Amino acid sequence: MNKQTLSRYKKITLDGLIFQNPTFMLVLGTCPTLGLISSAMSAAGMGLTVLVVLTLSNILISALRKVIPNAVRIPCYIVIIATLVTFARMLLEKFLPDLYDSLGGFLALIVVNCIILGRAEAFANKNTVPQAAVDGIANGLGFTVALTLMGIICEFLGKGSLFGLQIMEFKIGMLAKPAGAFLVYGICIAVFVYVIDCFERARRVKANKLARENLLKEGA
Amino acid sequence: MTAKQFFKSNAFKCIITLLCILLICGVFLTVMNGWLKVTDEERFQRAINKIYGKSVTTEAVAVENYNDKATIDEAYKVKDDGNFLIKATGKGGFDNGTVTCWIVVNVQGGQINGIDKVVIDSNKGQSYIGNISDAFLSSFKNYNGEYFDAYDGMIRTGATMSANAICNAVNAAIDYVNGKWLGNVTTAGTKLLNSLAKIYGDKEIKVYGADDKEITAEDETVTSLIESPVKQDNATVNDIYKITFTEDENEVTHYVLTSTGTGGYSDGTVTCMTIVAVGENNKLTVYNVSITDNVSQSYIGDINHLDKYKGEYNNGFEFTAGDGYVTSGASMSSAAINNAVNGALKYFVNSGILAGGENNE
Repeated sequence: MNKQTLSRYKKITLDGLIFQNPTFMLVLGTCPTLGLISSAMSAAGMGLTVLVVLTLSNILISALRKVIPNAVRIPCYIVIIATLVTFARMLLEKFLPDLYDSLGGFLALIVVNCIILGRAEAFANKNTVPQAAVDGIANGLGFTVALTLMGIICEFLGKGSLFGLQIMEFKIGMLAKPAGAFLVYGICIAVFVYVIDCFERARRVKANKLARENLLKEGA
Repeated sequence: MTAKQFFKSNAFKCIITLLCILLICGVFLTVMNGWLKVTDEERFQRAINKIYGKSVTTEAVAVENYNDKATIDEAYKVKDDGNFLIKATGKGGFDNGTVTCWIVVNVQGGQINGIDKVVIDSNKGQSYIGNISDAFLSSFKNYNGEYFDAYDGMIRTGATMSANAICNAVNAAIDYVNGKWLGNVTTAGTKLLNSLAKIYGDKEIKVYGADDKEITAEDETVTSLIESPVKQDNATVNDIYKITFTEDENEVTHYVLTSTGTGGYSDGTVTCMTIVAVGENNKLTVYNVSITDNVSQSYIGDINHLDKYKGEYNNGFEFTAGDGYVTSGASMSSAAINNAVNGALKYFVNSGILAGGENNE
């Protein structure tokens, strides 16, 4: 694998995880985010399910990108995603019934999750299978980490517990409800965007400094 | 467009692609459904495990009812530890509603060792069922061989009627396991003697029914001094029994009058057990009044004036709210209690059961 390819995969991974994080930067998949982050376990379960569906759908859509006519690509993507979601539901119901119960209707709603259809349309149908797979994993991980992080905050402050384990008596009941989740979501977005902004500014300053030094060297 | 042109067109390619994807996905899901399908049996076992708290193997057993305040809907014997898992619907909830519960009855050494778990399954018309706390449901673990009574000694819930229905369900489960599986049928005689033992404590009492026959714990049926319930004013007198015991070397005679008074809250009723002491010249005084049952009396748990009746009564006197025989906040239930007590006493005085009772003036 040459340096250029490696750099491409690195960019795909960092974009999915950080710079184009579907939850914090693109604000996609808001419905399950607000509905499920009152429990860290449900949030993590939802994130991992989306990760699996997203990766598989990206792989399949990328593999079929030359077969599927442009005019019917969206219905085809929806059929593939719906099949994968139904398969994921079957697996969860059979082997992880508690998680299946806790995800409830949000599990079926993965079919219409903007992240999955968005990545299929924006990335998978234009890139190779390995790249699409890495993109799916990176975006899925970005979504999972974001959801789990907010789930931990909401459950800890809203219920005084972590992953169902009671830790403290103090709790702010509202944070365990969708309204509280909305507040936590907003604060998390603000903090994340601020950190990324600082990081990018520092990177720009560093690049400018390097360019100036190069120019000075050339001038000398 | 000719047929040939259509088959070569992009539209045809689109249709075929979409149909192929649909077909492949359909076949895939059909195969997976056959492999991953959760059977009804599996689903049921999961539900049972959830209620029981751990994975267990159960065997459905025959259902029988030993208690008229609840019905046993389903019963399972847990093969792993010999306990019973029972689904029972308790009557006597708010507005004549019911509460259905799953009850784990712990059986050890041929007798009930405790109630391990009570889980609410469903209810009918119980608006305050949400007030039933985990602490209340856990309190059933303190089983001491007696019936649970929501009005007496249990954690206050703010949903007394619903709690009553839950207690009835648990009591029915206990009766079922005792009667059906442990051979410890609670006879009518035992029930009557136990309810009186709560009032008389250590006193050695003898209870007599029809034909002056002494009632014992072994009696499967008991016959009262009256053949059938009798209506008296705003009450129905259900049973009358005679009690004797020795106190300070004197033989004391009491009568137990069970009656149901109407006029309670929401057209409901209250059933009371009134015990009258027979003094010199057959003078009657109330020895004790206790509530044994009610219909739709949400605030029955607040009743606190029953001690006021003790030592009172003279023929012709009626207990009324105006004379202070009332609990504030439960005035309708208090009225039903007064009706029950007054009706029972009036009938008893005039019935001739007590020798010279008709002239007890």
